[in-house]
Amino acid sequence: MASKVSRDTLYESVNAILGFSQTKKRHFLETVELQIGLKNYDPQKDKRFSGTVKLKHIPRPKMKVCILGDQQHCDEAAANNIECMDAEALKKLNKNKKLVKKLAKSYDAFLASESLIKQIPRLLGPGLNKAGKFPGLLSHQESMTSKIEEVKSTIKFQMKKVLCLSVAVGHVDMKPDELVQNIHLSINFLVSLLKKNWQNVRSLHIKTTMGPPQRLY
Amino acid sequence: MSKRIIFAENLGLSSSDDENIGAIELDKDMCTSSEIDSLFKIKYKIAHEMSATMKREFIMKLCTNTSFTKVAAGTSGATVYIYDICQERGLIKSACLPCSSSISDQPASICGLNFLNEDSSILVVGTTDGHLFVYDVRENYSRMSFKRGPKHLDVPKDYLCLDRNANSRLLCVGTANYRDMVQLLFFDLRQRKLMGCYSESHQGDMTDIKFHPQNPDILCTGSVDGLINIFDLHETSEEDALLTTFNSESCVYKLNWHKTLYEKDFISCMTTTNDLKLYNSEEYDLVAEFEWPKITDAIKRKAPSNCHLINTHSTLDNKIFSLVGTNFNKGEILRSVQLKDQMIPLANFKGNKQIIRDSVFEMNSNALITGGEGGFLTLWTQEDRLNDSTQNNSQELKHKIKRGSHKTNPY
Repeated sequence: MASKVSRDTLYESVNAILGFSQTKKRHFLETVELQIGLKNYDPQKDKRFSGTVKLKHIPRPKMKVCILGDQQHCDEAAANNIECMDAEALKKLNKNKKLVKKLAKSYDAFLASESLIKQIPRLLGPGLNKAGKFPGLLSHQESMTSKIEEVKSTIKFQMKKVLCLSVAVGHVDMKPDELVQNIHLSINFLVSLLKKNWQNVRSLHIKTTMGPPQRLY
Repeated sequence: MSKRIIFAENLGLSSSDDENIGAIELDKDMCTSSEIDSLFKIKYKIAHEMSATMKREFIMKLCTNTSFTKVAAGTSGATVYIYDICQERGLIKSACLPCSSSISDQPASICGLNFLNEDSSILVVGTTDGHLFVYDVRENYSRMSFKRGPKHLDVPKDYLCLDRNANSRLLCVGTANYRDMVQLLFFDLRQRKLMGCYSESHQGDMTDIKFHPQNPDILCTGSVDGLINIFDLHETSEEDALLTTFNSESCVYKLNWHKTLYEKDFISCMTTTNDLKLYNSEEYDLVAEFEWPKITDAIKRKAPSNCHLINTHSTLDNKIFSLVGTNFNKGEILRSVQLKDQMIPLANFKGNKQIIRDSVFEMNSNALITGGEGGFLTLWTQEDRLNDSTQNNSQELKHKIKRGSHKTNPY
């Protein structure tokens, strides 16, 4: 797999930033970010650079997910100690904007059963939409735990009017191998979305929240 | 969804500094050219091509009138070029309308344009820096602006997409996220003034708005937040108007309405990560989804990193097809696939010279017009199938466009 960033460089840089984070321990779990600088890209003319990508290892372990489920999913959630709400519980909110907003704030993401997801606008109004927390689809075909894993592993990236983008790819308590894999995957995916692939990339850096950036490319 | 990991390891990325070498090395057809010919049974050729602009502008948006006699192209330089579509001579330039405001110094682009449905002598145009204009073809393209809203209304200025409804009374404009608010602005097209807005249903920049082609009250909207909302404007409040929300779990790029064989309404959604999703807009179901590697596979190419979705269209027999293209070598590969349970190779377009940003399709003649980053406006027609004795295409080519008088018609 041809790449402009060798495995060695990746390992060196990851070890460097992890090493630095050890020297000055913080009171919170530092995030590891990948920063991409673009070139030959015009935000006005070129296609919008945004989307989601699923990483191999969960970058945000503390993410709270709530299941909005039908009977079957709620039973499964209860059995697995996952928080859930059924249609009745949602009806109790009575479309009250403040309550829906509070619900949105209590969790990082939602997953909803097929039958329930269709009713969300009727039951809750656009509150979850506005909060950017509209649920993802939870089907009966796939396992609940794997879908939750997927939600926790998926990162969103969005380019605004400037030529750089920052994406959270992990945290400092991850093993170097895991960080390397996440970073490698992210770089490949993001570069593949660019019209001219590597010719659109000016620079790549990784850094921890409080640490100095390490150049990869 | 977990397929993404495997996919990401094998994207066929070009690591060469020379774009051309990289492209040739890594991306190619998955089969021989004769196999491509037999798979993609319909062949399109360029009937006529015009270079819309001498400047380095991209054609961003296209629209045609209902009779397919005019096409308007909106560019990244905030200019609209209008062409007549003529049976004999193809595309003939008829007007050039500069829409940039002399006051603003920030570069603006055309965010959307539409001919009005009943009266295709009227063209409505919007620019990204917040201007809306109506042009009247009969009055030598005289321009009318929209009335300014009341000053106290903090209306955001970044207009990103627009569409007009089926009876051409309403225009809906989608804005960028401004002070944590994204708006759908509704304008009365006759009075040319702002009527109201929705601001609760999206959280990211608006990327596409499409009104239902027949029902003037229904529209679907898509955004960077990944949500596709369907509204029924018959209802008075936004809350009641919101019929359903689909979560594409990525960012929405383009939306289109389609009617299938049993008169069911479908919405096709292309995401910014090159996935295609089909939703049943009446039963609120996800009907089909096709991921980026599958789409690359369907057009018989090797590298997803060199493949992107362009647009989806409906055909006369209520089928849906997708236009797919490549990036390198000036978008040389252009093919279409039909959407069924899987994607089936449909047509091959030879001679494409640009990355295409928008397309319009005429279902009676199967003619396609494309516009893109090379500034070219191209009219494509199907090649007559000379030796295909099993041809069962009962549709007559209503617009047989000839390129030059020296080219003889095979029949």
